[in-house]
Amino acid sequence: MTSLVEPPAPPDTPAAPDLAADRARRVHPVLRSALATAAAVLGGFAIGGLFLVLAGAEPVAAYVDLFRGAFGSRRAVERVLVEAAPLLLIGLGLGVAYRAKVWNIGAQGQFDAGAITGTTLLTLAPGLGWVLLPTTLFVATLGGAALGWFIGYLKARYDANVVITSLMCNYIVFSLLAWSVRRPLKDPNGFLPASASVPAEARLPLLFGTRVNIGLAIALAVGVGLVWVFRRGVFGFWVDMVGASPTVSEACGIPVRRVIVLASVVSAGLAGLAGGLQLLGTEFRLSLTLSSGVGFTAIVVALLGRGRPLGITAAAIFIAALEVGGDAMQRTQGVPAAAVRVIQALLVIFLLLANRMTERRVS
Amino acid sequence: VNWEAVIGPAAILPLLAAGIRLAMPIVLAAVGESFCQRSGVINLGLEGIMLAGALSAFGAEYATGSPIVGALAGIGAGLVFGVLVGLLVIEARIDQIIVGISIVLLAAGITSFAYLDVFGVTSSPPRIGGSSPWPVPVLSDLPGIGVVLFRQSPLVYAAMGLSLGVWWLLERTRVGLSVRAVGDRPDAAEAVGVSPRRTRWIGVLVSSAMTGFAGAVLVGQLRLFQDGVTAGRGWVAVAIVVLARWNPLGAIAGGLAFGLVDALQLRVQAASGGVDATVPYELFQALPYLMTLTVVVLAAVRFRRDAEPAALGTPYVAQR
Repeated sequence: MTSLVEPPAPPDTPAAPDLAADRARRVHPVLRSALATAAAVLGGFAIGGLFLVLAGAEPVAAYVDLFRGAFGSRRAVERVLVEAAPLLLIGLGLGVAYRAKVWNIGAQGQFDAGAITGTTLLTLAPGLGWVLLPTTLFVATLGGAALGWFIGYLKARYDANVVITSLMCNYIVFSLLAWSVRRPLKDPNGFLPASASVPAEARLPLLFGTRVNIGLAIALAVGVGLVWVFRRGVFGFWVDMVGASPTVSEACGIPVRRVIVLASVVSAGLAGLAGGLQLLGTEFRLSLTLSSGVGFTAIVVALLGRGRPLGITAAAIFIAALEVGGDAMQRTQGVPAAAVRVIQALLVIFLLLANRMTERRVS
Repeated sequence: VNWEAVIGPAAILPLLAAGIRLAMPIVLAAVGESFCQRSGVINLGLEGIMLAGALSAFGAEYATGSPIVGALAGIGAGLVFGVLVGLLVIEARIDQIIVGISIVLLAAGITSFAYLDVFGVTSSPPRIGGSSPWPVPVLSDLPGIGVVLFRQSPLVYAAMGLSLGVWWLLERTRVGLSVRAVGDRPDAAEAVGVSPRRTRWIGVLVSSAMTGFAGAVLVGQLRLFQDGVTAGRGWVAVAIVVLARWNPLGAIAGGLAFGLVDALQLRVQAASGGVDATVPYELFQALPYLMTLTVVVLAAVRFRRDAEPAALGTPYVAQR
């Protein structure tokens, strides 16, 4: 513990340490976290390269193909941005939850829940005209948020383990999804287990002559909103306080339970919204393959971005590039695209290690 | 539903036997996790470790044809992941929840990648012989209990023995006493000469090895591997540890209950007429998870947390 009052220096001690030099030796926190991230990326790609070698590929060539596949053409960049939108939206929400230490790993189920409730509205009330699009997105958000309220309430009221409850909900919602596309929401004229196609007036508009839909703009807007919340808003401060210490927060008069429930609702609601956007923007019908595991990939995004909106935005684009590039690498190098899943997980682990090492050096 | 075919007099004993068989992967993982958490460490990545054990057991048995080699490979994969967990959690003292989630993501990626690379996408998945039943002489002829307990595969006997052994180790021996002490008061344990660091390594490695073995038992029963083949069993095992209030015997009971529900839902699903049934089969598929969720909620509502190891989840910095 440092004391506020300097004790008088005994007469024959050496000169006080040069504070200016000490400050210069310290790395700026932003630079430090950038360095840690760069080291983690290098580590992730290095160990990931070992897996590629084991699979009989040439790792450098594979990584070049991966990079070209993600950024080599206008079409590729557009694909990266389309894939980044749901990752960003879900990752932003998970970031809020993780900052409050609400370990929601059920974004997959919350995404599916949003898509299911959205499709239900489309099926029940198809003739709403232009109102259909915003209402569907709203209902999708509600679908996710309802699940978020459930797990958040159980945690806040009874201290039920969120990791378990949110994950069990994933499986339960998936069964619900499987049933709904086979029975009530199935396209009556279709053969496959999938809903009817989304009507043209409810499909998301594209951004300025690109193939990127406005889902990306919505996700970015949410990100800007969250930056504001954490810079200025009291809720952001409460979230960080509750994450740091629920007992201290309680003593400070912060409504801990309400913060936990709200953090959970926000994360799940954004996942549900992402499900609605996926439905109206890229897939156009509810099916078992609607999500392709995006709810789990978003966990990586939130962890890599360290819960901060800007970091999460960078991480979402980076991870989306890996996903798109991984498909290209699979075509050219004949190694399974699942290699990028390995790299993603390694990135998280290396970043955790790098964070820990830089933290130690400071203290 | 034709209930006669599900729980009629002729069906009840095979149902119980199937329940025990299906319970074994969860029992193994839950007992190992109880041991680990009693030492103060949450090894949350069970789902991933079980996946890794399942794939490596599948690959090893596919290559050699021997279920024993498969089981050893499953344990080996579990230990490899256990070392990684130990390094991150005990040595680097990184948040145990984040490490657990990362381990699951890593194992899911590696198993998916390795399986596709070795076996590719096939119309009919490659299969292994798996573990066939080996009736215990004399005991298997006992009325009732013989069919239920003693006509299982050797892997099931091994799993039962191991689980009971770990319970005995934890609750009845000096080693277990050290483990429990480290989970409650690592500083006090260290003061009397028990190393919290070494004890927690033992906890992490025991639970990881048992969970890897659980994966081997699972593929030995299914005879094939696919992405996410563990289907949440690792997470259910973590839930059971809390429900069983960190008691391995309770974990065994909880795992058996889960296995029975699983066996029951499979049979009801088959007896209710499949795709055209009035009650959709998806509901039965969701039943084990619904049950886990319900029980977790009920336990959270009803129980106090007094059985939880006091130092659970808290990294320990050696005082010396």
